[in-house]
Amino acid sequence: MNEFIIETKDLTKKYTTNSVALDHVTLSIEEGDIFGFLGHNGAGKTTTINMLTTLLEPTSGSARVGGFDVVTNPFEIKRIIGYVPENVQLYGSLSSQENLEYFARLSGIKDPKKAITEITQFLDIGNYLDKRVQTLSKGMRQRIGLAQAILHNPKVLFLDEPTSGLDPIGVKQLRDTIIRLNSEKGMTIFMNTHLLSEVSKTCKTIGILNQGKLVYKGSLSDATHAFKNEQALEDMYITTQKHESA
Amino acid sequence: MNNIYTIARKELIDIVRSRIFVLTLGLLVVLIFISLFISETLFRDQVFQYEKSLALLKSLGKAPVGEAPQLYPLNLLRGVVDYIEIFGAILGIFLGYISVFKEKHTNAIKLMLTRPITKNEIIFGKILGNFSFVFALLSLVTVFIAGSLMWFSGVALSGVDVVKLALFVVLSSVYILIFFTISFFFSFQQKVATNALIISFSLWLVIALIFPQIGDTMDPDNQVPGGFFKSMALTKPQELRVMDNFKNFEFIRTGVEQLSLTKHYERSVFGFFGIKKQYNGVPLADIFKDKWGNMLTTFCFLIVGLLANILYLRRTHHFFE
Amino acid sequence: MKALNTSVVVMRNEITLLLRERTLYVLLGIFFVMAVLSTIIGWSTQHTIMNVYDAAVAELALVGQDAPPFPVNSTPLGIMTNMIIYNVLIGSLLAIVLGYFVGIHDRMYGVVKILFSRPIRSRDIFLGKIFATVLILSLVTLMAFLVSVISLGIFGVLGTSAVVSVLLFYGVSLLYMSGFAFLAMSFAFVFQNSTSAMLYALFIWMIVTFALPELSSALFPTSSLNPILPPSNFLNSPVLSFAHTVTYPFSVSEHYKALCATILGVGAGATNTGSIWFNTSVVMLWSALAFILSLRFFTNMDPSSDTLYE
Repeated sequence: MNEFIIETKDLTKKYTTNSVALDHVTLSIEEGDIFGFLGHNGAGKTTTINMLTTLLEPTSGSARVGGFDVVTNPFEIKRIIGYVPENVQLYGSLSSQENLEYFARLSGIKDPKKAITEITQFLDIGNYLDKRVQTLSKGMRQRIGLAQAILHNPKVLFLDEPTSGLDPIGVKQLRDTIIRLNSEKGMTIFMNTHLLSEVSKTCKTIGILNQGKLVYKGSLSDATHAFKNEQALEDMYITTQKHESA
Repeated sequence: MNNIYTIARKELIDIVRSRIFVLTLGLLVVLIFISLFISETLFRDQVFQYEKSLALLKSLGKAPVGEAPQLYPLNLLRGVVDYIEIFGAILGIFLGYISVFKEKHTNAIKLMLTRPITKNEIIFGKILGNFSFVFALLSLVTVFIAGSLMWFSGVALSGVDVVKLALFVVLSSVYILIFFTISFFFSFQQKVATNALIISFSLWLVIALIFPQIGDTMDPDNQVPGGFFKSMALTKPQELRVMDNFKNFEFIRTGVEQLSLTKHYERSVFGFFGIKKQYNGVPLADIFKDKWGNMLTTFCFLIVGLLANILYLRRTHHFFE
Repeated sequence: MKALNTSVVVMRNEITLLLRERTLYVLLGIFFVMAVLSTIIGWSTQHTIMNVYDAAVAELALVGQDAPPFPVNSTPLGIMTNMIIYNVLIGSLLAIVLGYFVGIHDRMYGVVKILFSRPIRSRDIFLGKIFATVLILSLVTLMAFLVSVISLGIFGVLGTSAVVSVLLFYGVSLLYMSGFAFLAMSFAFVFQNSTSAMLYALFIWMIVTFALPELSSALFPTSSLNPILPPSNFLNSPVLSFAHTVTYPFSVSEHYKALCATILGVGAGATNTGSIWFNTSVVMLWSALAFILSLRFFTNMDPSSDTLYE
């Protein structure tokens, strides 16, 4: 049995007293997992990532990443995570190389050039290193964004809607990269998405959020047992959303 | 024509909903009235001091020395003109920016062009909306200024004064709209909003502040508080004869000033308002004769600004970006 | 990672980004052109006024009148007075644009979340930004200082005390301009709309440069841009005198101008009712308050939201 690398207990975030973004979510993700976090727009997926990456403090409940508490040990967590926000942009007037060097230094990497060379080979982005980020396509920008997140070889990689706005080739490349990061480098992946096709092709376990509440958590194969009447993942997802809104 | 009016109306809504614009406009109006109050207070004080010294001289049995301060109400508008020069120009820049970037960043301009509207109608609609706004605003402010002057001086403004104030409204509208055309142009031309603003403000800095400032600080008469020639007790003809020896220097100095649109506007209005003392009591036609060059130049700047925009926008593909 | 290292890395990054902002060069260009021109303008005006005086003396002699003594207060550093005004106008605007860019870069490029998910303290990021701003502003003022010293060597009298005074003048200018840079940076940290951040900083600039001098010293905007202030008896009026008492302590640009005029030995002008120490304190306080504001706004920045509109 693997250790839980991400654990939340009754994790709650209220922006105002009446607006609950995340409502008592209890979740545990094993090390080495590729976890797909599903939910409609505004369900609370980004809020969850914001709290797990220590960008946002919970209103109540607790969360631990790599055994460290998000409130009391944010620094330790930051050392072991990588993060690619939705629509990652990076400094447009800097080249990919300059962007990567900057974030490598901020991640405490002693030899940024060596780390960049390794990642460049891994992601096959060598041809784009000298180009300014503002001249790159969205797909390429996403790969450079991913590169900055894995430069320091993190234990957990958080991806927020990573395929948003990508063309089918970009989506396929990203999917392959995620699977390789997991299998070759042993990274645990936490991925927010609302693209069910991506989840079924990439993730080992899934969680479904609806209006801030976790309505399902388990493996994809378990999901088929839990929702016997639904043939496809899409139908299961729609069922969970209906249950809650009813 | 209907489309032009529709777009012009939409411009007015955009303008009044811009918080920073309304804030700056509020500041301008407040400052205009403060400057009016300060001018009036300073004049009252001048009269008070004169009367005090007069009473003292009388009590000593001496004859009064010097002329009593004379009130030409429009003279008190010096600060108002200053503020239009500086803040009015800034408002013009804001208007140009609001007019373009509201559409660009919401992609509304693309939507507009999918309607049966021509590019020309959009451009003229925007120009018409902003022209009407500035003109109406200045007319309103001027009515209040006139009221304030009458209340202070206790005398009704003459017909000529009213004509002068109307000329002020027209010239000031033209002046502000020139800056509108500058910022309108760069807002279309630049992809990043703040870059358009920085370029417009840099031009404003040079046109409205630096050129006139160079001219003013190089003026020999400005080297002594109160005036060099006054401190030398020179008469006007003597002063002119002295300055006749420095034609080259004066040529450069006035040349720098001539480069500035602001100075042309200022010279026209200072002439009409008699802020340049030599124009007090001079018939309007004579002031016109003296100032038509400055007025014409001011109008020319506007025409050039409008033409530059129209030509650029009709040819460019940047209209949408 | 050591704290100073982080700040240096952030500073270097900010400087690289700044050097790639083309619009910044527009203002930099204007500033340096005016730095060069200011002494030339000062010199040619001073030179001309002496000749005008001689011509006036001759003109008066023609009608048998005695000429009054030379009325212009001519001082060795008098030819530099225009630079005080150019710092008020161009230097502070340049500082605003500089501070704005340093403050807005991370949000403009959508990297706030990435930045704050790194194992670094936000205080060190902030310090990096401050270092970048102060370093660039210092370089700008240092170059302007060199330009002034060279110009003084050519057009004026250059001695040790003159160099020290000019150095002091640029030191005070750096302090004054930093205030505007920090202010613009503060707004760039928190405003949802990038243009608003810039415009509100400009709004404060307008108040400091034009509105406060009018309120406190009855100076019309264009008069306040002339190094030689017009004579004014506004303090005779109880209302204006009261307005002066209330608003003068806040009129930072007037204190800056008065302080610089004193340093350059050209006289602080009739509207300055404060001592040199008072002038200095106000300018220092201005910069310090703007710094505190930027620190506070940076601390209040929400790293989980990098939404920014144009």
